[in-house]
Amino acid sequence: MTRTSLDVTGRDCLSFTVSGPWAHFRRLDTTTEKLTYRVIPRTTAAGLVAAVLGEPRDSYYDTFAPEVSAMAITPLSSLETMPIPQLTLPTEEGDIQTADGVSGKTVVDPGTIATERKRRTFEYIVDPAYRIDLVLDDDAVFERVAEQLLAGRATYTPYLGKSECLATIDDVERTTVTDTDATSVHSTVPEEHVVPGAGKQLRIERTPAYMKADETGRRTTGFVSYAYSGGDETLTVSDAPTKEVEDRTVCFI
Amino acid sequence: MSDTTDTVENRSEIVFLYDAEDTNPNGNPLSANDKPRIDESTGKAVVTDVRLKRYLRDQLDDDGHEIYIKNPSKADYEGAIDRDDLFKAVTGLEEDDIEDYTGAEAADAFLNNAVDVRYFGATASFSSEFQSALGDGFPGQFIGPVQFSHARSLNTVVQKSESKQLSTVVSSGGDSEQGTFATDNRLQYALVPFHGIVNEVGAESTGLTEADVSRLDTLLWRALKNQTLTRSKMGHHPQLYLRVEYSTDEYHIGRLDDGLAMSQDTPDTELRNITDVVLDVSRLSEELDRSTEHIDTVHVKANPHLKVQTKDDTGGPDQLVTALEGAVGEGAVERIDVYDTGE
Repeated sequence: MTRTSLDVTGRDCLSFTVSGPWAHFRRLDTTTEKLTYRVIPRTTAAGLVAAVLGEPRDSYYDTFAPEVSAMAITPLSSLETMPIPQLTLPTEEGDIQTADGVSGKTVVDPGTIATERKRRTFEYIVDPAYRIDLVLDDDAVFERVAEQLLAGRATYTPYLGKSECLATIDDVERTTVTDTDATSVHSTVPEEHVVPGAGKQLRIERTPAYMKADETGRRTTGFVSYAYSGGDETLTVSDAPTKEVEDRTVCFI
Repeated sequence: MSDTTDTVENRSEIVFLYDAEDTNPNGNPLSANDKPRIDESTGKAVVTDVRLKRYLRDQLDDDGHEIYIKNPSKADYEGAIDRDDLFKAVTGLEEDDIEDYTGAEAADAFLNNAVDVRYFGATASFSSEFQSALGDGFPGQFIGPVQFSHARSLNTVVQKSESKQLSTVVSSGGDSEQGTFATDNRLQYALVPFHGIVNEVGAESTGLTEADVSRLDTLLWRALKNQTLTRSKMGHHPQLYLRVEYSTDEYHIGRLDDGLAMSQDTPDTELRNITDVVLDVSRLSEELDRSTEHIDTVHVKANPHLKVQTKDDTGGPDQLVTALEGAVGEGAVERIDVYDTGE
């Protein structure tokens, strides 16, 4: 498991809340059933920040590499989900045709629609909200992010996983990371540091955390397994690298 | 060769409110008999962005525009040709000429002829041989600059307890046909707010023009009136359309639809018609007031039957316009004539 190696103590941090009516972060381990992670994956959060800056696809992964960036993610909502089945059409080679002699009247062949139209259930998180604390080693990029977010600007439209999950970014604050001995943590916590509590449901998921550009576009270079809570609940930790941001105790990943 | 170089310059945020009376706003294809989608934790109706975009595409088609994602029930499939001939069909070019065109020029030709792709994007790859003939400049995917959220009704909805039975004949493939029965599921009443963004930076990738964005001002309204005439969709009425056009680059308020609330005394479960509803727009006005310096124009259309409550008073569409003018200035509010399509 890859984790951030950036020493964040005393560093400038940008804290902001991203929320929306819906979110969908498709799990890598499912195919026809489009299940969602409950917590915005670190890679998705990086993409969100890159969208705010207007960075092109596959161009920004080095900025969010484990040795030069750190991020803490705190769920602020209960992270309940709702299934939304949808009909999807194939776009494989040979499926898309165009009506003869009619410019631009492109169709999927009716035979293909009859046999290949798939009913797929997309699972969406309802009313998600996350507090994100971001530290970047690259001061120039950090300042650009701060400038954009504090001005309420975003180059590309922010969304939570899918384009129909429009997102809002607000409560933007410049903060400083400090050390703490607290063991009651608000953010997600790397799995090995969580102390299970009697009567407490322990929710854990494993999501992509780091990416690299490659010849096919990008590939995941690191995953992280973490426990999380929803709403105002906290997690108890042992021997965790806890930090304090604002009035929250968090773990950076 | 492109006539879509004057891409839109300002960002817009859209709030579009319509109601669904004794109808099924959006059936769930995985439920028995296509039951309306309902968020079980809130009891509110859900309508997907896909449903809204189908209305819009169908209206564009009816208006005589060429669209890429055709409605299966409306498409003419006679003589459908292989997609490798798409480029030739769109541009009128012969096979030998294709390599003289760059991929970017091919993309321009495609976008000029598929207005729905300029709005909503599409996956549009050709076969590998044709792709290499076009060159690398032809993108396999166009990302749409116009995005809508799934909508969730303002009210808690009630499913009709008296559902009528339909008898129908369905084909199970080939020549076999079999009669069956289905239940007609409807909601008593749902007031559905859609929220959308027009992104001026994303517009550059699909060539979305000022004219395309202006078209939205009449398109959503007319689509909801004209494309809801089938049995299961009768009973839809557009009630309020707002397009807030921003003057500040890369800026939008976000979640403007959250500024809408219902303030009538009638409980949700007893709502049957728009005349039962009072729409509280005071939070919306406050949001706009706070962002006046970033706003160029508020384009607005409201149904005459809509009752709105502002922080000063309750009234019809004029009351709404007065509140908007109070927030952003008289000259910055423009009433839309939805039947003046200018085309």
